[in-house]
Amino acid sequence: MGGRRAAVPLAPILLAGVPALGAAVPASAADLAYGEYLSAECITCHRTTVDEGAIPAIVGLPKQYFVNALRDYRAGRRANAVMQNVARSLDDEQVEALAAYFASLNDDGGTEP
Amino acid sequence: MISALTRREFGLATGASGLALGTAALAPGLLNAAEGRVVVIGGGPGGATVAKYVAKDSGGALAVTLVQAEPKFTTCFYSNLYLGGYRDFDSITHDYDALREKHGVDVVIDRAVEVDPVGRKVTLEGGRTLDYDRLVVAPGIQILYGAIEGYSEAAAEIMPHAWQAGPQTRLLRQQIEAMEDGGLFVLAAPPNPYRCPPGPYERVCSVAHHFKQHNPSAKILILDAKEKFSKQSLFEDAWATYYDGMIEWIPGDFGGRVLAVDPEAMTVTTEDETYQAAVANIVPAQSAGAIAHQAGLTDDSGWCPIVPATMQSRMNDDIHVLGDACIAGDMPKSAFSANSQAKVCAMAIRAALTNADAFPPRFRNTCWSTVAPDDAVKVGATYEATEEKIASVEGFISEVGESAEVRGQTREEADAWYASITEDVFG
Repeated sequence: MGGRRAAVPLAPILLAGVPALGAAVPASAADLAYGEYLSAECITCHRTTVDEGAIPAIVGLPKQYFVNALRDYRAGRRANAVMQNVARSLDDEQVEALAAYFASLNDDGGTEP
Repeated sequence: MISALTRREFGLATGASGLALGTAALAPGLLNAAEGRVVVIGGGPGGATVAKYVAKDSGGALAVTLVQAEPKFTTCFYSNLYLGGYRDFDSITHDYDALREKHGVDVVIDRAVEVDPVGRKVTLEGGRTLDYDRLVVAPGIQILYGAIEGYSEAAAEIMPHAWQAGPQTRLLRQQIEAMEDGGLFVLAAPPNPYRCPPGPYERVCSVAHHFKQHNPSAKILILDAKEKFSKQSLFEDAWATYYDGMIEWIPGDFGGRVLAVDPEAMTVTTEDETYQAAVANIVPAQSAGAIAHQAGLTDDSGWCPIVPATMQSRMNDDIHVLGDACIAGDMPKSAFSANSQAKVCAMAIRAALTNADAFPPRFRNTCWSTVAPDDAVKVGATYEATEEKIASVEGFISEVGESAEVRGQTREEADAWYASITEDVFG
């Protein structure tokens, strides 16, 4: 029984590859990969193709705007129970990675040329 | 131009799976055979999501086959809004065209009838056999007809459960529309655990919304196997606010548990009384879908124990179980949960079969319930994988007495969520 790598534990993985981030530092490929992974959680509710309805599009938002919004939700300065709950589950590094990833995308969900 | 890197290029640039992905771009057919075969049973929010994400994120390196019984999928989530007349049937029904055409998933319309966990094969009703390196079992629930005397698949054609969306949902809607003036609508609510904990009580709001407009002297009786239920104070407040005098709830400890039904006489019997129903919506106890039992993935509870970090079955490392069929610890059985688990599962499968990165798993759930045309409530939480279970970290719930503005926004948010999650699952 067991696939080729079934015995390899998944938990303690790969964050070593993600450097500490500052807003002024350009996003690395590792940041974007981490951000892309984390973004899967966002797009359950935020559509990637259109901005309509009560849940806004977040694709292509300026990085600092994204970071500030998440910090405001986390601190309770912005109202919405879902987003406050989401923001409190993300640390600063994760917020930066998400912001870098979404900022890197065009409106159509594709990657910038 | 780091921002210009696609995930595939990132893999090449960093060497992570670089060889495999680069070759995949040249010769996907050859590589499919070399890298691995993933078979997914069940095309609901768990199964369709995992099929899409494995196919999309493996860049063609893994061959993904999705086995789904029907060519279109009607979502059980939001089917209450169809029952209440808020939505039409087409708006809650989705096809698999995007999974096939955009993401390269081989969608096979057939039923899985047997899993051979030793030979790693799935046999389909139509006779085909599918080999797998990893199998995902996401069959949803099966209805335990035997839990209520007199209830059966045939009885459900008269007293629908409508807890698996499709023809049952249409049947119940027809019965609601045709119900005699002043008739009694009985909903038998199931014992825990079951699909969509707030579902029966949201359904009552939807049915009451219809009756309020078209059959205002109708009554709704909830006969419950439980003593309490999800979002209880919020639902009870909504019933009093919007549908005063129409709805009565009898809990399990006050004789609410339904023991027997008689579809010919249209009666529903508890330990205390027999009720004459005009429409009887009987939702019995449930367990994991039948194929999960056949594959030996269930425990004594009738559900499937899993390893939280990877969604692997505790019975077999080559098999993952998602969504309603699995024992997800503190996570409720919901489409949102299944979608969240599917993303964790997809990552684990790609890590196991292609050397893709595996990040720490993240789980979340939110359930919106529409209680009136401009009023919805919500409950949600974040979760983490512990050794033992998927454990709740922090949650929230709407409050009684929130402003009409907040409730109106929550109602709009629910519709926006439905559009998004169905695009995420099927788009």
